Amino acid sequence: MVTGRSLDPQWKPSCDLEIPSQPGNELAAVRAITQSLQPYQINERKLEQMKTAIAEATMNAMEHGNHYQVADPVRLQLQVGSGQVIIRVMDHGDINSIPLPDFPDIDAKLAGKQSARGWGMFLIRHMVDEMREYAEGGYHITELIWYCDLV
Amino acid sequence: MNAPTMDVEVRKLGKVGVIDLSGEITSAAESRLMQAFAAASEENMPHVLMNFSKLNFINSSGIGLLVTLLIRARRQQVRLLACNLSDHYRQIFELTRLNEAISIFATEEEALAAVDMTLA
Repeated sequence: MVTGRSLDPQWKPSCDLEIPSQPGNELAAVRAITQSLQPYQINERKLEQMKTAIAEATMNAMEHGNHYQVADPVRLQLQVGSGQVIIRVMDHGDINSIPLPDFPDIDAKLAGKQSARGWGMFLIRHMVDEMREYAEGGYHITELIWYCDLV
Repeated sequence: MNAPTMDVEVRKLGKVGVIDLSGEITSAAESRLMQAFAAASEENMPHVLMNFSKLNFINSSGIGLLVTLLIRARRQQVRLLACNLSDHYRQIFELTRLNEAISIFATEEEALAAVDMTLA
């Protein structure tokens, strides 16, 4: 994960939506973004990785960034082009709002030494090609990036 | 509101309790999943097979639930098995190393055959 400003000064999202910060709404985010990606015929494996990462990043934004305040929505933006799919997940937390738990370890969890939960950031990191986290325009932004052949 | 939904059905096939999971496994699925495990493992059933053929989605909370289920199964000396995972969720099982604690099979038939060999 890289912490810092977006490297793309020409940010022009093709999809820009807001969803209320309410448990379960991460699936609405996944559906909206994947629908916008349909024209690009992204391979199935990458698309599944995107779904998982979008869901986890949106859940983090709703919970840790916006504290599940329904009136404080999570904003998602999509930009596709130049062999990249970039998704921004935007909340109103600060840059340290998402706790970084210990590296999740199944043995420690089974032994009761770690909580059974705490897989979210681990999953995101393994699903993306690159990830950035920064603050801009009053938002805390998690940027998920994939490099792929686009039709 | 898009509340995730998971449906479960429990079947008994010899010494194996089978849980057919469909829909989305998230934190909202906790009570249904635990009830399904209790039903599948009752009467000292030594094996519980989770069939993921109709699974749409598991998130990190769902992975956490599977860890909790695994702890419960070990306490009851029940062996957990899984089948019909998509390539994506098989990858997630490998990343999380759940595959080292839950025996993974491509199909239900393969899982049941493996149990038969254990019992033979």
